[in-house]
Amino acid sequence: MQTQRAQMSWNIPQERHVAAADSVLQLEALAFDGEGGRQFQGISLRLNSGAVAWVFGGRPGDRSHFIRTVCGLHAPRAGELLWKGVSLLHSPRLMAAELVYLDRRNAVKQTLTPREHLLFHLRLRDCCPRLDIDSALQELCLQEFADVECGQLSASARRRVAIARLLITRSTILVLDDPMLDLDAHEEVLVDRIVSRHLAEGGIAIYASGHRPQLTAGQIVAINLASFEVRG
Amino acid sequence: MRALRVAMVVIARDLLLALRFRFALVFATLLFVGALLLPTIAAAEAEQFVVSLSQHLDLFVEMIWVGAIAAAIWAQAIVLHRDSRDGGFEQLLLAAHSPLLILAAKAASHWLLSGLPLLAVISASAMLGSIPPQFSAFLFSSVMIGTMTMSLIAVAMVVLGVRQCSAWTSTSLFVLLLQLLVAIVAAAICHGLKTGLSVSESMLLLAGIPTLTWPLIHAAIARPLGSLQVQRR
Repeated sequence: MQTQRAQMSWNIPQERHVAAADSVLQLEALAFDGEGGRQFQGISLRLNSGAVAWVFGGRPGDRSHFIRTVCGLHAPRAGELLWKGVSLLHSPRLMAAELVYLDRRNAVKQTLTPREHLLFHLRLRDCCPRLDIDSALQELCLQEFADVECGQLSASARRRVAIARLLITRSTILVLDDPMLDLDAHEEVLVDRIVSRHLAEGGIAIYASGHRPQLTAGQIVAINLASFEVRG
Repeated sequence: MRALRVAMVVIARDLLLALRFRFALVFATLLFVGALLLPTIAAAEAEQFVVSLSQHLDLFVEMIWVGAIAAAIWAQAIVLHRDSRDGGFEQLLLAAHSPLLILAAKAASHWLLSGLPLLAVISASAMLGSIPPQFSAFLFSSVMIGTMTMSLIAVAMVVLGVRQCSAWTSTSLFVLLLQLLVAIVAAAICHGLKTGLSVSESMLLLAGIPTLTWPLIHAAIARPLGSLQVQRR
């Protein structure tokens, strides 16, 4: 079994808001099919509160397949994903409560406004917001577009609308597939700030990207996907 | 109660999206008006509308089922295609506590846009006296069962497509084939009622249609989330 562990870490603040101190996410010998039939196997890692798994290497499509497997959207060929010892892949209820997924596609409807989009996701999860909708929009510099149909927004603004969903949900595990996609250079810091704050509050993240996240809090566990590819 | 609330949220959003898709609304209106009027046009003589239409009952039934197929395709574009294309389906499946709940809510949205207007057309035709009352009741039941089955097929297939990253074109073609099969069988049962099949026999055959879709629905709710067959080492 191949494993790769933390390469760099920062001190994690003592304050915990999102998750209990014993929050732990484990991947046990995960094997999955990547893009174009390539196979990956033996991915194991353990993430405690305040840790982020940075998934890099391989093709973007392979990283997306890995993320979708972690979210239970693709069946793994082998292995298990455990949250505090309980299988996430076998428990949609737990998955819904603990995990929020940012896809490469934004899942933003052209004919809904950002406010309507966020309100829908809030009602869908049927929970109290971590941050109210106006504050989330303000944090992502979208307040002036709150009532404009998303179809009229730029690709960058639509991406930020999708990211705003992470701010309003109370999930402990953020699963991000190329979160910087479509963002302008000066907007990328917004994502890193959101992830850093989430980790500082005791959350956990899985961050698939070709670029190393520039986080100000949390511990980074780097996973080079290419090193898990089954060759020959 | 929570499940019902979440389902209502999904249905309300889908209906809102449909209302904002103005081109589709115009298309749908034309479609349903066409479904109501075409048998009349075929009957040729406007003043003999009632008599002619009764004589052309077969044509009316066929038009209703052609309308059902067209309405199902239209509703798929509104309710399913965009969610499948933009990743919305994944978000729904992950956010809801049960994939079955999302499947049911999406099927309800699909049916409200495709099946319900057809039932309105049949009811209007029955009230106008265009079709015999005993036959209109059976046609109403058959269209209700048939369109509900079509909606379930469409949603189940799209969920399976999302799970397997299948192309929308291949998924929708397979959906169309299954829906055509349902429409042909249901239309044949309606025709059978007119040519000697008893009402109870016809109802029994109709009831068999949705049960055939159960394996598809089972696969859709089992595979994306919750019951993945993980092979342990």
